[in-house]
Amino acid sequence: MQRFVVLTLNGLTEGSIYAAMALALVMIWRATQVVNFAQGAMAMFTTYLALFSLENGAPYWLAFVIALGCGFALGAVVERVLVRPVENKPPLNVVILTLGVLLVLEALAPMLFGGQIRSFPAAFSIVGLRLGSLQVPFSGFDLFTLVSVLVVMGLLLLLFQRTDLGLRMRAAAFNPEVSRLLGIRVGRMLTLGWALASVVGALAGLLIAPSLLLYPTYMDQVLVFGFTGAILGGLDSPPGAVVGGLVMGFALSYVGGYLGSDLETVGALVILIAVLMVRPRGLLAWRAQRVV
Amino acid sequence: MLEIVDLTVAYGPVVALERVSFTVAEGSITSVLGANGAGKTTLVRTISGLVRPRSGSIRFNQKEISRLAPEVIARLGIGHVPEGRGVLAEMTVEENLRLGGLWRDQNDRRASLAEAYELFRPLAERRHLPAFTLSGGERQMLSIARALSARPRVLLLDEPSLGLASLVLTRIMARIKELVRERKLTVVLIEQNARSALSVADDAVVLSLGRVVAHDQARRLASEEGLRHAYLGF
Ligand SMILES: Nc1ncnc2c1ncn2[C@@H]1O[C@H](COP(=O)(O)OP(=O)(O)OP(=O)(O)O)[C@@H](O)[C@H]1O
Ligand SMILES: [Mg+2]
Repeated sequence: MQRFVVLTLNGLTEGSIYAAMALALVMIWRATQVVNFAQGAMAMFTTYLALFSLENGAPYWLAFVIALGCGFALGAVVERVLVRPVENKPPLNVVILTLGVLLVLEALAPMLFGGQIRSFPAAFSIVGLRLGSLQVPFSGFDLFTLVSVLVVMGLLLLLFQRTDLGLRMRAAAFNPEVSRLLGIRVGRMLTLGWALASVVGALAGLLIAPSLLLYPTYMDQVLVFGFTGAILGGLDSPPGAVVGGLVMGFALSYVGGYLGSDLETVGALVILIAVLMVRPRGLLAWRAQRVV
Repeated sequence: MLEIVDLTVAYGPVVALERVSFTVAEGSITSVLGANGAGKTTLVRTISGLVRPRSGSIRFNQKEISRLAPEVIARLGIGHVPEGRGVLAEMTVEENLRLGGLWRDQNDRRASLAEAYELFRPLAERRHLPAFTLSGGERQMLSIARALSARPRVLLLDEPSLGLASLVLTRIMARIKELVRERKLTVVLIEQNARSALSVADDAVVLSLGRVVAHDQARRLASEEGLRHAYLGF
């Protein structure tokens, strides 16, 4: 029983990070129908920038904000400079392009920051919290991870559901031509969508770095798990991405804990295939009805 | 208000409009008629900036707009109800309507939302449902209501009658005529049904294979038998 609690809490924390990654992928998919395979590498790069800032004397929170800000800029630049020109070309071109960005960033990082494995500090203690005399397997940093992911998701929900800007961004993603007839600067909205998604990705990178350690490919697996979560959620649905990401977190934690950590990745694949066989359009498919 | 001079538009080798010229006066309704493929949709899409002309000019209040981006043209006050409706199916009815009034202040927006629901009851009942739950005619209502909530100076209507019951259409046209009278709204109306279009329009332009073959007062065109038989089919 205690083991189950440990694995569940662990799954919740990691799941929230996969959920953030999945959400970033889904936001970009909805904005431009592109699966951004570079999302993980972009987050890796911004986390290195945070580490670089720390090493040059920046306080932790400043480094944190720098990484998120650079995530915003990086997302905007990738969309504007690289994705926009191939927008109306066959979809495979963009896929290859995002893979190219991934390779370039993973090659650039060791040149700029060194290739060795580095540790990355956590904002709060990573020792389990105490409830009276009981020590629970859930640390202050775990709590921070969960809360910051929830806060970011809440803010995005507010943006998209409650503001004009969010309305314009959604319209631009759904139907660029009609949006332009309504006076919406579609290009700007899509750039902003990429930028915000990259902030969410950068956050995931920062939050998981203390436990995974920092090296140029440390986000690859997070990207795969996040992507699996996004697919589970139907790729088209932000709530689906969050649910899918959490499902991945729990599933991986249980598989790793009960069956051995070697099986984690295989386990993820089995889950993906099983779910897609039962619900080919994702877990939340009934709400993802997209009518053209 | 809207001056079109020597407008030529081509899709690759296909010339869709050839040296089209006519003027639309402020506060009037001009009907654009012609057979399928005559170039009517191309004309309004070019005015909106969705299609780039090969040559010629389009002036709105003396200002050249033919090289501007569609979003800029829209904000100048040219509204366009596209052929095939163009509602955002994944968004709710109310969100679609809000998108119409993006550039107006809060009070105006609330007023035009109320007005849209007043004019189109079925939309009020479904305001929080996604637009894909609407019927074809209801989508057409939504598209027209959305364009009206932007309070455009010029309204381009590409076959608004499509899928609409004649009673609803009559009500919409009555409302539009009211706006033309009260606010000097200027309308370019594309219609398949020439007879009914000529009955609401002040002027009419007849296109055939991308050229203007007639441009006159609607009343006069309706009485020219030869033209009616050759181009309008009644
Ligand atoms: N995107 C396009 N690419 C190539 N040719 C096009 C395109 N759109 C229209 N055309 C051609 O331009 C000509 C005019 O088309 P347009 O859609 O303007 O006609 P229309 O008068 O609106 O017809 P309808 O009454 O059927 O709506 C047609 O010959 C059509 O084949
Ligand atoms: Mg047409």
